Amino acid sequence: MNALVAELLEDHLAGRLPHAGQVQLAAVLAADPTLVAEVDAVVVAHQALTAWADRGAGERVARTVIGLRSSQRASGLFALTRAVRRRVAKPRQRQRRWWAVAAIAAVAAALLVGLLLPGSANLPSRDGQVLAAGSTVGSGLLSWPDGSIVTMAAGAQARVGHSDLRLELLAGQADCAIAPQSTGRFVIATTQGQVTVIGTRFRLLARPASTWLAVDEGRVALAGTTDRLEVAAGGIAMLDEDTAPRQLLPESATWSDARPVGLVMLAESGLEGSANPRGYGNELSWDVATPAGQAAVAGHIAERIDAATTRMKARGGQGLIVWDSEGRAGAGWNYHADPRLTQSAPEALPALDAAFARVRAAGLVPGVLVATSSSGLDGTSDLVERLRWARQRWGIGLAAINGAPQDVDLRLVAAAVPTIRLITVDGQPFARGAGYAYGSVNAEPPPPRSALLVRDSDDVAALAAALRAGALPLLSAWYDSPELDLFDRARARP
Amino acid sequence: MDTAAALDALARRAVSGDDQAFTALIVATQLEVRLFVSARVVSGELVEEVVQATFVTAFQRLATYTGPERLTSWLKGIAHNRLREELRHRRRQVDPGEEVLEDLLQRQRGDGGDEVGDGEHGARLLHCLGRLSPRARQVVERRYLEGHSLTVLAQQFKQSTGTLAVLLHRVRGELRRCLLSVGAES
Repeated sequence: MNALVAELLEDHLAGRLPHAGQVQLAAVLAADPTLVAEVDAVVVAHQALTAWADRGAGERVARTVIGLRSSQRASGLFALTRAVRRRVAKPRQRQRRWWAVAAIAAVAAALLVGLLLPGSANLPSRDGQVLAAGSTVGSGLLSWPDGSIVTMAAGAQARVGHSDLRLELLAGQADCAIAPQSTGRFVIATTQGQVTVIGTRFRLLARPASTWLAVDEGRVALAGTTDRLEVAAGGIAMLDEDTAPRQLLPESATWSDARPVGLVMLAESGLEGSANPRGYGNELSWDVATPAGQAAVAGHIAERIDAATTRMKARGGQGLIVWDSEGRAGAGWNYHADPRLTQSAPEALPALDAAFARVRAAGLVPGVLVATSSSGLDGTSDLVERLRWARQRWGIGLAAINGAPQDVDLRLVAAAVPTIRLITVDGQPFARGAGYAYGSVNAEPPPPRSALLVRDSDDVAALAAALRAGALPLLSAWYDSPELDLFDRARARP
Repeated sequence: MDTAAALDALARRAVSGDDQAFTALIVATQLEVRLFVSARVVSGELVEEVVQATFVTAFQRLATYTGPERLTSWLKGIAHNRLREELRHRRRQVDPGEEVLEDLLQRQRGDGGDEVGDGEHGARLLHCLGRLSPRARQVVERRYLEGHSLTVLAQQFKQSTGTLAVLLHRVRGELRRCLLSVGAES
């Protein structure tokens, strides 16, 4: 048995194999009936070990049987034992021998999943109706018999679990108020991992590439594939597919480097509907569906980024931020501020891959622009996923944030991507040195840790003063702009 | 007083209406009954149900227990009959594939009346656990007695979860073989 199947089986025996895993395990066993006998033997041994380890089983059985003493007087033996059967609505571990059905009948995975879903124990209700295990729910309030409540936010989606696994959060945010668990556990799974709680309040957010946990009361365990992290009240942790769960410590994020940063624009708005819809090079004549058009875009991107690299190297710059790597959208929504969109821009992605590599090879730090319209934890995680994608793809170490609601904690973003130096250019400040924020060149003196758009000024003396005060200059580097000369003169002033 | 005699004493007190004695009797014997049933069926749900039904029946018929010093075997006899009844009952239900397989499995395991009372299942298990390597035994104890997840075990033993899952799988296989071989010896 290979490790993957063994892990799936282990999770099943522990009662926490999510729906997708059940389907996967059923498929493996259906494809290899010889495994079924092996699994049978293992399950028998597992049951023996579970019985051996369960010190409270005797008392439980005794309570049930003794409690039915009055029923014994009122009914015959058959009725009494049936009453016990009805009482055993919450067995310690309900396991159906579904894999045998899979192997022998080779039935569809969906049928097997149906067999896997046990009775009504630990199922939530909604609007007074008990939900079936395996059913999918959207936004709204779910409640459990023990008083636990989960509020699914707008756009959230979850699948009802069974046994200790109460819920699989498929997408969106769930605000959870979990009652103290005297027996068993309360587990909510996401794509990347799961949280286990004893009794607490927390928020859980499932995103395509990450899981986020904010604990308001008590302690919650966040487990990934290989690691587990306990998060206390006030803590926020994240988990993705590549790393272990980790707590975000906003105070830990800080950086300080006032060497100039170059900005690069690659596209222009207004070309939507043309054969160059993302507006690279502002050329209506390019048809990016053709090899010639793609070559033209690639040449344009390489030329601009390489030229900017040269200009910033000459000025001792620390890096380059490409403002619109994914091109432009229609009028009124000029920047996507989502570099992940280059995945669907075949005319640009290969050229960007190569150009960013040359930026790094030149000793500069590549960067991108990001923004979000989501608020709270959702907005925080949205920014982080955009940044992490660009870091993984291009190795970025710089980023400009050009728009985020005020309740998005940029310090958390900085803590989540500590290797990326963040600059806000929409006025939202950073605290405790987590990044540089836009400040006016003409402010006297400029606020500490200001990032200055040099093009906003034509006053050499004011710019020189700002630079001496430690401001970080942002230079339009994609062409020979006048501000480059202004910067050179300001820096040359004594 | 040895264990069997002590169980008989509890049975006598339970017959006279002493609920505490019956509770103590269940606590003392349920593992043996549970292991007996677990060795014959794969479904954990069925094991739980048969164990419960066994003690309900015992509660009803305790006055017919004549002893001496064979209470555990007497309980296993009840468990055996309840298991057969339950399988027969389930065969009529809507889940024919599973229950037929369960029944077949039980028959393959030679579940005849003469096997009832076939030694001490708890002692067998302890014997087989004692034959595991110290590391394997430690993994089993942390998994079952301490209830640690695979993830935590992976941290504690500095192994991947996959490696530990395979280890646990093999250990359970060894235990199963050991339990069968010890049963054959006895």
